[in-house]
Amino acid sequence: MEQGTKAKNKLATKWLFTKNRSCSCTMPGVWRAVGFCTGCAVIFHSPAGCAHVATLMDLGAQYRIIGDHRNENMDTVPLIASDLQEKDSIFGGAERLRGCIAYVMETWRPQCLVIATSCVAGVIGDDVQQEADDAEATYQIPILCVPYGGFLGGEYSDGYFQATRLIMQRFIKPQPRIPGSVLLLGDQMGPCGQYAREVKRLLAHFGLEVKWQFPGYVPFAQWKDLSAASLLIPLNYAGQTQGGLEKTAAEWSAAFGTPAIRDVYPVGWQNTCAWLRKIARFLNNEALGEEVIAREETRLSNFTATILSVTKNKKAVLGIGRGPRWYNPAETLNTMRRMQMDITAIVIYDNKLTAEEKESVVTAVEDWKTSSGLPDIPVITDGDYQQYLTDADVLLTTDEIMNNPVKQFFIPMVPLAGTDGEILMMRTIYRLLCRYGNKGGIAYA
Amino acid sequence: MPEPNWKTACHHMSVCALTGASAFFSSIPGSFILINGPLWCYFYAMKYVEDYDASALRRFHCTQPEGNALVYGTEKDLLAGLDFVKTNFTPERVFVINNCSVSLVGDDIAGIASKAGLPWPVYAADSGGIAGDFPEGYEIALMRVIDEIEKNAVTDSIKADAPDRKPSVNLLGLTPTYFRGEEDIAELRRLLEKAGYRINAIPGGGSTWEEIMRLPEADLNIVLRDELALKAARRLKQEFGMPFLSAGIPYGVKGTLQWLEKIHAVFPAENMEAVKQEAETVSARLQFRSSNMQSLWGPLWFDSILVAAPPSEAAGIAEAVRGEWADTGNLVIHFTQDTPLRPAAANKICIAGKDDAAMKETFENWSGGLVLGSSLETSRLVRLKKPFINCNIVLPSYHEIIATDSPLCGIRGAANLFEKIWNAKLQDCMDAVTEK
Repeated sequence: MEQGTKAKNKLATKWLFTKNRSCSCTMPGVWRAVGFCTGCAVIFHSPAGCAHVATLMDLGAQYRIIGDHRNENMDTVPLIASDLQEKDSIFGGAERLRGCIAYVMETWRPQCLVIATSCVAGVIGDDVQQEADDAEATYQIPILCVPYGGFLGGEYSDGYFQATRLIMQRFIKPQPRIPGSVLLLGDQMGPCGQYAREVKRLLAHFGLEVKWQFPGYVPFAQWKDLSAASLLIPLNYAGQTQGGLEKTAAEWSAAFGTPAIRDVYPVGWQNTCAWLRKIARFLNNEALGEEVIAREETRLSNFTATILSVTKNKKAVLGIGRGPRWYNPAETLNTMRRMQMDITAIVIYDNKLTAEEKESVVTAVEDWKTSSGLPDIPVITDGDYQQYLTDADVLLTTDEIMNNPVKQFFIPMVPLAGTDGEILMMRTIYRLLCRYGNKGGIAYA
Repeated sequence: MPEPNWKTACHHMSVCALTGASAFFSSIPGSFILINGPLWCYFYAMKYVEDYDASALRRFHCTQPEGNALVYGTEKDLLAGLDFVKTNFTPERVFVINNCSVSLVGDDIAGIASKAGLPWPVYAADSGGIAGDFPEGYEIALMRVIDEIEKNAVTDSIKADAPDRKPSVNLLGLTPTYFRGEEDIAELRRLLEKAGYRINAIPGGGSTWEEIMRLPEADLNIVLRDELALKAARRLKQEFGMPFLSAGIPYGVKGTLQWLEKIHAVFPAENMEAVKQEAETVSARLQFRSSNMQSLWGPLWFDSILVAAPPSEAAGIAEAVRGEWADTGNLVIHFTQDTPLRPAAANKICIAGKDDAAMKETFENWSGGLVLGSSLETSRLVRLKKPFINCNIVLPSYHEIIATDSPLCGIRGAANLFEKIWNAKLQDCMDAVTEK
């Protein structure tokens, strides 16, 4: 029972909105920062539905991991909404929050409580920080407060990094180092996600062992031990959103003296090599670094050789509707070259980006063309790309294109890391090109 | 301390009122939904509807107001949003729904819309999460539409005038956005029509705007989910003198016959016998299949059965599963919303927001059995490493695809659930062998 309304214009991409303003909410970020930290509980000073949204995000992530034949092996901490209601907009929601804290203390008995606030609480003007301070004095447990007012205080990442910062400032104390132990910083789908798994695999070549992933995945009781790590590795990738992670890593290093592998991250093969070299330099063993790179390069080449018969000379279009905060097109373009595809066009979706984002993306694409010696690839910015799609064997795209028979590969939002990430992406594109008949939809790695 | 009503998200899914209103309005063909609020809230409301109706993402948009708009008003954002709709689409009507923070601003949506010079009507409603959960949002939307029915009231003389008209009913409290909701609507329609009733309108369940405006022409309002439509039924009785019956949703073969007899008692059907015959045939078939399977696999026994769902679903399914198909010594219900319902089939009843500690115990003490719920309960049990077999009866449903037109309710639904439960047990037996 689909209920249609007629569209006047052709809005090619599946989603209609642009991310030109605050597009997320700080509260789920706060939740994710302690979501698996046993001993904590989280209160959203919000209507109940806001907690539902965070839970849906968590469920999606869990089932994606199960779909990858993994098991998280961890349980989430309680997430409770103070259940703000209409009457609270008149009399304030402080009393409701106070009651909710009491309820959580009695029911869940957390060792640490984290409170995030919604846009409703922001508009009402509840002094949640004061409530948190009072509750801390009453219950004698640490209570962290991120009173960012939902979307009013910024994005998901702002909530996430502020919660991280509060934990760092309050609980992490300098400790003697454990040689060879690594602390991963950031989420990227957690310890079972592809990024963390691949980083662990690559670090094992150097005899390094990942001991913790922070924030989000360390029990409260172990927070104090975290500075014992001898190396900090942020799970980052190119993109402005990740600037927060970069900054947090810098703050960590400054506070606890832990060296960090920063500025380059193992997303895309070139970056992976640079990242491996940086680790080797840190360990004063550059020869081992080159050995690891050679081994990984062989894996990659061996895999590529198995798919070239299908991918070579295939006409491929890259479609970009994701701004530079989230996406670096050079990585995808390099992968397309590795697969020896014929890149016939690069399309910038005109309804998806702000003028500023569009300009940045075009600049990045032109830079790549110049550095790759492929100056003649057309860059389409005016929406007139239908013929390229008609002629293409495959479209690698950040956004699903509606009502178009071209085979589409979705460029993942969560980056695929390292050699395995590169192989995973190429394998999905290969399988898509092997597809017999038109089954519609879009392929996800 | 006030009466606890805090909702632990890890034990239930409380989709917000914005989603409930969106689900109701978007079910009316030709409607466009403009959410006056941030992208985040819009996305989750739209995505909930889009999971069942792929066209939703072409019929939803949001105004994305800046923080300052919550001080100075959202007029600029709203006008831009309406202009986007005007430029790109030709809807028959637009529903503007304020999210919770915007609803506190108090903008005059109708006044702003009139400035936009639009060729179609704009209807506004405040229905953010602050108004409540999905049921409250659905109810707000239904009430908003009843406002329009009152304005456009058609004479009720039609009821008496038509010489060959069948007794007709409205079905209130249905939505295709629930788990197998569209299939359940089709099954309820089929059963009632087979019994001899004419379905006048199903507001929120796919009826057109014109059909909904003729709601008062029916002889009886049947309320399928009290939490969605009981208030509206009372108002329709008050405003238009329409009788109503709170009937709930029918599950199981016997449960369906009881449900139909309840309606028949208030408003007699012409052809009850046809439904009874179908029920007998299906019941005999299920019993025969069950006996055959039991001779090979043993009885359909579960040490525990957990039913976790909103009241209408949970109560009906609990009675059906224990009364008609499976045996257990311990049936627990987790009602995801408060309700006065206390099904006799249950050994223990917990209500989300009131009995969170008891719900936590259900999961922590779970030692195996059948879970009839959603991907949320299975997520908890997976994380706690507890054994279980499961069939989804409500959303969210991440680990089950819905591709057939099999309902959960009614006679067809009984056969479907019976089959699903048996197959889940058989799969469990096979998995246990292959894992060894």
